[in-house]
Amino acid sequence: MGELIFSISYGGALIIAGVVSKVMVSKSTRSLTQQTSEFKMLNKKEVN
Amino acid sequence: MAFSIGILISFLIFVLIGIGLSKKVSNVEEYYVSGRNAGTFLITGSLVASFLSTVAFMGEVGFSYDGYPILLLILTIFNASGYVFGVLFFGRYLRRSKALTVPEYFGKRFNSNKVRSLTAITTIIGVSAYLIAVTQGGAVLLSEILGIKYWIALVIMWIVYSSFTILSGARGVLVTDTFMFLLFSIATFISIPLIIKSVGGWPGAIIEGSSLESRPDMLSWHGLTGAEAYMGTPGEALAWAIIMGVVWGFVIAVSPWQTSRYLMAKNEHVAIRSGIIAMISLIVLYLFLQIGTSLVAIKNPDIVPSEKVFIWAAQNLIPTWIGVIAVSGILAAAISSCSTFLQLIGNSVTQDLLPKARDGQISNKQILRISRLSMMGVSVIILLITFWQPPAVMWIGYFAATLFAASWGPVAFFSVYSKTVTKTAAFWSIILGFMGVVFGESINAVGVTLPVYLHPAIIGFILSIVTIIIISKFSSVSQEERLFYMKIRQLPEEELDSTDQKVTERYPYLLIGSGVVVIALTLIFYYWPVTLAL
Repeated sequence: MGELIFSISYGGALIIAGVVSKVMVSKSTRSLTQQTSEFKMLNKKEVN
Repeated sequence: MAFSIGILISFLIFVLIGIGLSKKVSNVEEYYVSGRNAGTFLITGSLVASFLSTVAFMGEVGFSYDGYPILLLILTIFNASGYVFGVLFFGRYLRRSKALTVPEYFGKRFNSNKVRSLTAITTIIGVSAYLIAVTQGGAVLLSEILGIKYWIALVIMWIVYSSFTILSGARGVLVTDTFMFLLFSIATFISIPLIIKSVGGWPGAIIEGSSLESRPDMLSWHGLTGAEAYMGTPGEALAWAIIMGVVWGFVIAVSPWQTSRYLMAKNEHVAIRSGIIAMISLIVLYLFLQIGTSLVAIKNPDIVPSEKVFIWAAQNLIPTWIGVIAVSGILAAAISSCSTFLQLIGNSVTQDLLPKARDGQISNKQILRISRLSMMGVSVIILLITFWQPPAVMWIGYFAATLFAASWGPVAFFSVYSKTVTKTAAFWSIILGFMGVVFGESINAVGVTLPVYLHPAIIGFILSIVTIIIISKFSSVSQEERLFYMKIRQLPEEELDSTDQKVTERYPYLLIGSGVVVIALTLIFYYWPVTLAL
């Protein structure tokens, strides 16, 4: 039983790390989108 | 003879790369952080190569051969995760600081030369201990292969890694590290299948290894246990693996020889992608390395010391030319770590401890010259200590690494996630974390065996966390600390590249896909044959 749990957990660590990094990278994307739109608004104001 | 020629050729290549790249180093930023323009391949290569050394290819494979390959892989689950968690929760913020060294980051974050000097001193003590252990491991191997005296092997090792590190700095270390990463990865993936083939092939060797008379529980999840074994009960064995795995996970996430690589990355995306690939590389490499070398016990259960198991297998179980690649790979792993360690110590001595260099009062050229001279001085001191100190590859390495996990771990994460942490709290947290580890090890040294849940690293870690929380409550954050905290929490303008972002977004899927493949590999390669033996 322990051997089976190990066999699944060993690769499972990569899956968990993948899910965590997906969440974190998506969070960065949201912050990136927010910052980009803020920059666009600032540029618009400057042009006006 | 073939082994000697192969090793000497690989040494010559490392030195020549260093000499060639030294001409391209013209300023401090190139010497310390390779101009901050390294791509994913170089950062990944350096992350893995500076982590894997004789501790892995001699100490840990010896431990697997003694009867604990699966326990070591359980430990690897936690420590390899340190790459992804480290870069996501600390490494990328560290990069935003634009520091030249990790102690400089702590100094800037807490607006304190005291904190900077303290982290520099812990770097110098901890990394020097690790450098001594790895140099000695490499020298033991070299003296055996070349048939020369141990002290001559020490001098050869020292000349090779010191020469290219002093000359070319971070630029040379990154390139040689990546070259060495490729060399020892190729060595592992070619030699391990052949070693398994020579001891009975797959699945026969795994079946035989599961019921070996000399090591009856070797391939069980807990390894050998009982009064005669290193581990008392399966529960204790598991607790040891989890605790040491978490400790090593922190080492990977915050130690200077790992996180300093992110300071050299071209951008944050490169840092994140490198952390992800490094984790996959370590998990796959260790699966084959640890199970493969443990099976050598089928052919020869009496290799003493067990740290020489991979070398014995390379010389006796596989064709000579592949054995040459394997042994060169082990030495490359040692030299790549030594070069990174020497670079870190030398950089800290100059950039963090010399007041004139630290405060930018001398010219770029002068700092470069002083950096090279101080690195030379440090390398000579390390060489002298290696002559005097008896070799102990795995345990000195483990001790040095736990120092960082305990004393730096809490401060590193608090520096990124806490607005209220203060310089005084950071300073005392590092000191008490460090003292906690030394205190725990001293108790062990006088013969008192602490329970596994009171491992010295845990004592140090708890002391460090309690200290940082309590002292932060009774001291206040300065305006400079607050501003720097806000600066590293803000995504820098240069990272606003949607193409880069899209590429990085694919990397988590790479992790998930690799996880599925590794589960399938482990089930087929290990679990199925073990069940056949029952």
